[in-house]
Amino acid sequence: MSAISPIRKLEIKKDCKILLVSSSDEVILNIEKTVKQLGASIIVTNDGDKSLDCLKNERISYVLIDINSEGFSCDRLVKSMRDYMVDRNVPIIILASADDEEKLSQCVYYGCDDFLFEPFTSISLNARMASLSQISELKILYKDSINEQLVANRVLKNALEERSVSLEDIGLFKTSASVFSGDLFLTVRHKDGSLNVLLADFTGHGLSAAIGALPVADIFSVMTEKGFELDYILENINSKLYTLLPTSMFMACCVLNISNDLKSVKVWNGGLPDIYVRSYGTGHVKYKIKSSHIPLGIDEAIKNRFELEVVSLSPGDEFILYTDGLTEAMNKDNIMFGCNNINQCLQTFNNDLSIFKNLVETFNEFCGDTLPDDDVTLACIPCTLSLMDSSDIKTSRT
Amino acid sequence: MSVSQEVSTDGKKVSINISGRFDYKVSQDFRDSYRHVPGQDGVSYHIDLSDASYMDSSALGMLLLLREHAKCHEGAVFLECPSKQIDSILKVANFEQLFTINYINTFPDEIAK
Repeated sequence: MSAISPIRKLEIKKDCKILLVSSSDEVILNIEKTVKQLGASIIVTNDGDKSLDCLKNERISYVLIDINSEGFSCDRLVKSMRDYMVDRNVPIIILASADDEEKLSQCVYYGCDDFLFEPFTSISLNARMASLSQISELKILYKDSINEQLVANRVLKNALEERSVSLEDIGLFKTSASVFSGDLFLTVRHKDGSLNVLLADFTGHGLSAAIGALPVADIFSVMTEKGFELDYILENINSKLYTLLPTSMFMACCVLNISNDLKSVKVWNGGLPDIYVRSYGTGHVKYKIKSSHIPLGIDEAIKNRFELEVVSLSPGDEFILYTDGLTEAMNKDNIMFGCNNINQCLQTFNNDLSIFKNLVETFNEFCGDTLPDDDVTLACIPCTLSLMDSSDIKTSRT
Repeated sequence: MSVSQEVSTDGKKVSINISGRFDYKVSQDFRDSYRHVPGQDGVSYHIDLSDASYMDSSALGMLLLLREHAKCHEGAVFLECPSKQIDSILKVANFEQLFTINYINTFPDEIAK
C-alpha cells in the first residue's frame, strides 16, 4: 500500500453555538477568545438554572462547564442536563485543572462526555469538540439504522405470520439476540386436515440469518396447503436453500406432521436438539427424537436423507421443541441452561397439563438479567382436539 | 481461543489445531490457515479438535467451507479427536455423514507426548 489516505480535517462546524457555564471572568475571557478564533458563537452564563433554559431555547451544539464555578455544583448540573436531554446528543465537556480528579470522576459518572485541562488552547478545544461531533454523528447513524431494522423486521414478521396459522394451544416462547431472529416457527394446516409444524435455526443470527426465513416459509406453507408430502417439501426447501445460502450457512430444523386423528406423527430432525414427546397424565418423556440428518441447505446426496420417522401418539401427548439457544443460554456465572434444567423441570411438574409455563419460568429465573447471546425458541404443542379444529384463524397483525 | 497450523515437509498434510472456543470470532484465522497453503492439490487437512472447548454453528459453517475448498483441490478433510462436548455438537448436526472423524489421534507428534 503506497497511497497515503487523505487526512480527515478535524474541525467543528462554523455555525455551531457553544454554551459556556462559568463564574470565572478569566475562564470566560479565555474561552470567548478561543471560540471566536474557531469562528463559532458562544452564550455565557454563570447560573446553573439559566444554562438549562438555554439548552431548552437555543440550538446548542456543545456545552462547556467550568468545574470550579461558584453558585452551582458541576456534577449536579451535568446530571440535570443529561436528564433533560434524553434524546439529544449534545456533548458536555468539563473544563478543569489537573488536580480536580475527584470532582471529575463524579461528572463522568453523571454523563459528561469529555474534559479539558488548563490551558484551554484553541487547538485542544477544537480537537475535543470535533471528535465528539464524530461520535454524535455515529450515534445518530446507529439509531437510524436500528429504526430501519425495526421497520424491516415488522414487515418480515407480518409476511411470516401470514404464512402460518395461529393455534391457541401452542405455547411459543421466542427471544432474539438482535433485532432480527434467525429462528423460525411455522404451523400450517395440510390439505388432509393434519398439521405441519416446522422449527428452524439458521446459522448465526441477525439479518443474514433471518433473510432465509421467507423463502422457507413460502415453500413450506404453499406445498403443505396443496397437500404435498413432508419429504418432498423438505427436498424442495433444501435445494432452495442450497441455491440461496453461502456454503458456510445452513438451516438446522425439525418438521412434524401430526395426523388429524392425533394417533401418530411423522418426524424429521436435521440438526436441532432432541424433540421431546411428553406423556399426558404421567408427565414423563416417552420419546426423544434425536437429530439423525444433516441440516438443510447443504448439497449432499445421502441415502434416506428426507426419510421421516413415524411415532405413535396418545391423546394429550405434548411435543417440546427448542433451538440450541435455549440450552446454551448462560446465566451471570457463565453456566449453561443445559438439558438438565429441562429434565428437572419435566420431573418436578409432571402433573401439569402443559409444561410450557413452567419451562419458561424456569428458564427466565435461571437467566435472570443476563440476555441470551443467541436466538431462543421454545414451542410446546399439546396434541389436543382443538389442535385439529379446522376453523383456523390467521394471525391478526399487531 | 486460537488457531495454529503446521504443514508437512512434502506440503501434502496440513494440520490445524483449534484451542478454546471454536466460534465466529476465529473465522478469519481459520480461513487463513488453509487458504495460503502453496500447491493445494491433493492436500489432506487434519483439524485437531482435542483442545477445542466449544463449537457454534458458524464453526460448522467454517468446516463446510474448508470441505468445499478441499473438494475443489482434490483434497480431503479429517476431524481429529473431538472432545465429548464437541463430538455431541458434531453428532447433532450429523457431520459424520460429511466428514471423516477420527477418534484416535494419528498425529505422530501427539503420540510421542
